[in-house]
Amino acid sequence: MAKTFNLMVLTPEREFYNGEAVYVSVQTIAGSIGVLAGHVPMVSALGVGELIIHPDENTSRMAFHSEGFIEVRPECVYILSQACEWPEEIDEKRALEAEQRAQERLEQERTGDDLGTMGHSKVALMRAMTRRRIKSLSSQNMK
Amino acid sequence: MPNMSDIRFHIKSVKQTRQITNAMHMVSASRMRRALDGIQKNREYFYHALDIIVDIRHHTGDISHPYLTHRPGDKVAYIVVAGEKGLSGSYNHAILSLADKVMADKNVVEVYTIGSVGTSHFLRSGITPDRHFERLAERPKLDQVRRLMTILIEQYDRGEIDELRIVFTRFINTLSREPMEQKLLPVELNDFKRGRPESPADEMYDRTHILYDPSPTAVLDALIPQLLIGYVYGAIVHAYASENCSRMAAMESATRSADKMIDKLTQQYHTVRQLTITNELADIIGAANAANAASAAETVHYPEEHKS
Repeated sequence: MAKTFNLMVLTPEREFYNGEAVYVSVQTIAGSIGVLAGHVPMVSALGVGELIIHPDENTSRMAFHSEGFIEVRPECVYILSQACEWPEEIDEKRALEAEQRAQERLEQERTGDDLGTMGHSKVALMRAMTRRRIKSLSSQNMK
Repeated sequence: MPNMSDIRFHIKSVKQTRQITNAMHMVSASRMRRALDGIQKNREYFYHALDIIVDIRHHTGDISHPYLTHRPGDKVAYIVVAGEKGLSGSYNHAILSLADKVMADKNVVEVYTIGSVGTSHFLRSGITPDRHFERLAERPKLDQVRRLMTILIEQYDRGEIDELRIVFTRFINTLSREPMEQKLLPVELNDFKRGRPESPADEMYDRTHILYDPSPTAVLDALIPQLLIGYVYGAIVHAYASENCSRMAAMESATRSADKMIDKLTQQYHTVRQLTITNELADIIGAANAANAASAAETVHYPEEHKS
């Protein structure tokens, strides 16, 4: 039996996950990290990516997470993100539209000289693509 | 004295109004409960972000960061969170008069309004809001708040504004609300501490050996905009709860006055009705008496007539 730790995933809008977990992995600005029980106290900022939670040794759940941060404390691991969504909550159509919109914006910005907003379009594109990837991965697993 | 049908009509119209105010009271109550739930959830998110920033500051000493240090300029941008609709007691008036007061002596270059009452208030006083967000106060959406904050933080980065402030109504409990102003940029961490509950678990936790990945400054960079987004979202949720709470109280007292008015009118109606009946009876009795008297007089005259 692997050691478990308390995991709490919060967004400004709701409590996304609150319970025990064996392992959790997130995408930080420096790369992907995984946390097991007994991790050294740590704080890092999150990018956009996949949130993988193993509630016990045999199950694994994947979700989408947006920008935020992770705080590893001795008693609990907190993940605070602006948005978290389980695959079934992801609106694929909306993500696809957002992806196209972001791509169009990027095209325009590349030709124009307004470089300031390019970063945001890139993040928006990342968000949309990650959402779609998680959605498609989970539907494959279903089959 | 008003006549009966007038009073009846009056009672009917007051009853209709009462029905509306009562329904609005119910709606505001349920919306307030939902908003309170939102405040609770947002609070945790926000205080966590704040704790980490405070920790980083402790950890690294006084690092200078553009979001934490003051600039000499005086160009101020304001976000004003007002209601979406009227009929909410003093809510809109209180927040907008505070906004007018604090904006009066500053060099305000940008005004962003949330809620249509705020927008129309500034339009009336000759200021066109640079951007306004309708319906956001009614159903706070995080991605819209993010868009708003991205615009403002970028303006701050480019030096178009030197300060960012927000005016909103803080929800204290169902009986009290407080319109307040808060400086968002540059961030003054002590300001945000207001109303923070102290938990014993925090004191137990040794914050001196924390690993920051990849570096404290990088984490700080990423975190401050998020703290602000979290705060502004929280402010809008607070304002929404306050608006509905204020409306709930206003509608409750309106319903009560309507009840009182209906009572008064019903009493008046009864008085008038009674009076009319009395008058009618007096008329009938009077007429009957007169008729009796006339017929009595006639019977007295009959024999004489017969005689002649």
